[in-house]
Amino acid sequence: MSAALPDETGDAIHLDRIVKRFDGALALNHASLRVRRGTVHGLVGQNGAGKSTLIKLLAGLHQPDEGRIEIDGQAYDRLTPHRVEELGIHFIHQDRLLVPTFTVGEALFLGREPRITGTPFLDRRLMQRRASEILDDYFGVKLPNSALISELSTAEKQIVQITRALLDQPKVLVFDEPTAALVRREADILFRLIRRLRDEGVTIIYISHYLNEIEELCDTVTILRNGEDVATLPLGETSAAAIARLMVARDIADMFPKRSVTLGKDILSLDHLSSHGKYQDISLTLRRGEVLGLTGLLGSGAKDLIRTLFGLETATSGQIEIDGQPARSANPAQAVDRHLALVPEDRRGNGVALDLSVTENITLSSLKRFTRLGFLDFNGERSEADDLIRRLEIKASGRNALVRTLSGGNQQKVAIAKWLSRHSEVYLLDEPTVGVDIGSKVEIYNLIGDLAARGAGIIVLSSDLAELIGITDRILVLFRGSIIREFVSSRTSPDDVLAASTGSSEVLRHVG
Amino acid sequence: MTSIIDETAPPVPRSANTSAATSTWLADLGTTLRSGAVFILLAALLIGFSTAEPAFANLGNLMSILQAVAVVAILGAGVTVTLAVGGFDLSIGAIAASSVMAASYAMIVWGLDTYATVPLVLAFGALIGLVNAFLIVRLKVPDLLATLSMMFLLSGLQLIPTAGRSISAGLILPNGTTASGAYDPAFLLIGRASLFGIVPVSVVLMALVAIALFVLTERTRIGRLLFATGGNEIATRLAGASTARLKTLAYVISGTLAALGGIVVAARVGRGDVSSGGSLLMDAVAAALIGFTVLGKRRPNVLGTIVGAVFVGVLLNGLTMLNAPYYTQDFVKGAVLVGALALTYGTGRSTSS
Repeated sequence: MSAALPDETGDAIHLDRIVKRFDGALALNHASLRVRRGTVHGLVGQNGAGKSTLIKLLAGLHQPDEGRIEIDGQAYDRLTPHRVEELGIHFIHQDRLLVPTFTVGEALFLGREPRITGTPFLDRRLMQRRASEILDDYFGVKLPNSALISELSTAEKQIVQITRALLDQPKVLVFDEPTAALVRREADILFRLIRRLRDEGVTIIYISHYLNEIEELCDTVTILRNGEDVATLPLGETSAAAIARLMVARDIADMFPKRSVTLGKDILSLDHLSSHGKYQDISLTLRRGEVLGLTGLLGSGAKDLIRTLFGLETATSGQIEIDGQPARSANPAQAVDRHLALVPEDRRGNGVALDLSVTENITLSSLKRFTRLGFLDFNGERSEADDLIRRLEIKASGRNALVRTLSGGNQQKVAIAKWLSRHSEVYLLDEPTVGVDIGSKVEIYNLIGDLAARGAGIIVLSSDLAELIGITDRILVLFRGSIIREFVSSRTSPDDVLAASTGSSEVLRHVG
Repeated sequence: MTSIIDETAPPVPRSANTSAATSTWLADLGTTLRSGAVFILLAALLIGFSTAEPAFANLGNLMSILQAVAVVAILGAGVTVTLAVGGFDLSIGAIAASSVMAASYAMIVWGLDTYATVPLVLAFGALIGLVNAFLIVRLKVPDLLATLSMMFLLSGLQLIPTAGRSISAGLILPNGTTASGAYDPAFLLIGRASLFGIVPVSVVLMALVAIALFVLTERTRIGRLLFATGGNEIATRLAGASTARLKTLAYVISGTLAALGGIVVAARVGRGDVSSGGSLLMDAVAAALIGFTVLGKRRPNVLGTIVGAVFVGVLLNGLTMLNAPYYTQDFVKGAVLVGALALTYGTGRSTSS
């Protein structure tokens, strides 16, 4: 649809030195991405490296603060999602776009329904025919146009998304973690499709955490780290191991003020804990003063394990003990009574109540301490809030400020302060620094160190491996529901841990 | 910015730090005006109406205004509690109406006295609240749908025992016999008597409900947790509170207060009319929503709800005295509600997010 002449360099997409800030935090720092026409181009990076920001800029969902976006050699100032689709760029993302109550036909043709010529009526026959042509040709499957999206499997939903894009004869297809919810056989079908589309001249951008997929599928890969593109390499000259090393920085160890704490008695122990279909046979002990790292890809079972400890899921077998007492909690209230604390990943959704004040959030789990005969002790609450605001250096206009008005880092401090007020002893921190600026990150690391020094036991779940190594004593790697490796944090490197969590240890061992 | 700031100061958006002192001053003035808007308007109305019609300002009329809004305020307090937990109870009007029928039936058909009828009807309201909570909390039916269905169900249910007839002394039952009971005179006092000949009993009830609910929601741990549940249910549950119980409590309170409202209506009317309670739901919800603006709280609050109900009552009473036709009443209520919501949501939203 674009009138531009084919670009001599052969670039389908060129994002040139893009800078993007969110609330002052630098998400992209002169990041570039140059994708040649008719290739499969991988895009990798740890969480927070800037992948999704870059893709959202390309999708027209954000505008860059600096830098140029060129599509087919032509620069565009203000891209909108609509314009991007007109230019033939389509995005396949597992939880986007599809309305569950629509039929396959409605979803496929949403917004560009063909009409019977000269009438306002939908040309249902044409819709059915074009859809089944593509479904049959590319996937060899039949999906009735009248089936509801909500009745489809994840793989089938993805097929619908891809088909929707193919109906438009796309020039560029962007796949964002397409295999996260697919079984191997479905992924193989997807890979065959991607290769075929490339051979037909479609340009593919492929984003994945699974480095073995990148190795298998891509012609070129761009590695992002901390908002910069650190390398763009042809796959022939590199390997999953080399990519892993590039993804994690080595020189930022100073960022992590790890304290040495003398470990105390066991505070938490898990004995052969299993949950059907989620994790199996997990045994571990956590000592007072210890910071234990837990990591694994989506679906590794690490999240489920944390949820089980806090009473949000139940284990099918095995034991949990806290201070030597059985401690399988049926609900969060029981877990809180056992001095467990959970700081969830989705801070705004689950961690804090945005429209309540800092004070109300801080005392939420410890209100019993601030209650006399059922009545609230406002003075007690105030001094507790002031105390914690000072100790944690929470930056707010005052204790009555709504948490909504705080920055991400300070919201997270409020979420943690809630548990300090509760005098919790076992802290479960799920991605504690996601979306937090660097300054606040260091403050949160210090806080974790303080808690350990006071004798708390801490489990940190993080996919930021440099962080995990920097602040923990030990790291357990979960893969498909089992602990497959244990590392002593001071004697490992991010690429070792990454290799273990992506299941590509073998590759690494070969490379050295 | 970490220093302790004046308690009453509103949260200062980060950008305000750099802006000129004048604009801060203006913003403060704006906030003050917004939080006091309802009171300022109320004062203006009182002065305006008394000037235009001196009879408006006499004690008797003021009490009759309060009496007129008592039922709406009582129901509104219940609405406030369900709004606090992030829910909504559409069934309160129907609960009140069924309670009118239930009270009448208990006295006229079963021949019960006040001391049996009142607890029975309150228990009925609490039970409906419990059923609502079961649908919403256990079966995860969306609150609006659950209570809408309950509204339907009750509107029909109240017709069944009397085969669609209104209930008054000498009612002929579906089986052909004549009911022998009558309204207990003590019961009628709830709707018709006045304390010291000045303050109507219903106004006293309204005040008691207001105080009890205010203390519960603003001064107790349970109240805090109710608001926390509405603010972020998951975070509250993760903090160790049983949000299921809190929501159940909210619907039970709402149902019980609606039944109390029905008792007051029954005691005032002295019969069980099938059509009673028509506009109660809308009026109570309006009062609670107008209440958001009171004192700049921008969240459901009992004091605000009572003020909201009184505000609408004063406006309607004054307009009636000035011979505004009755059919303009709903328009006036709607206009007030629109204005209040615009004030709550449209202005002064913190810009930093």
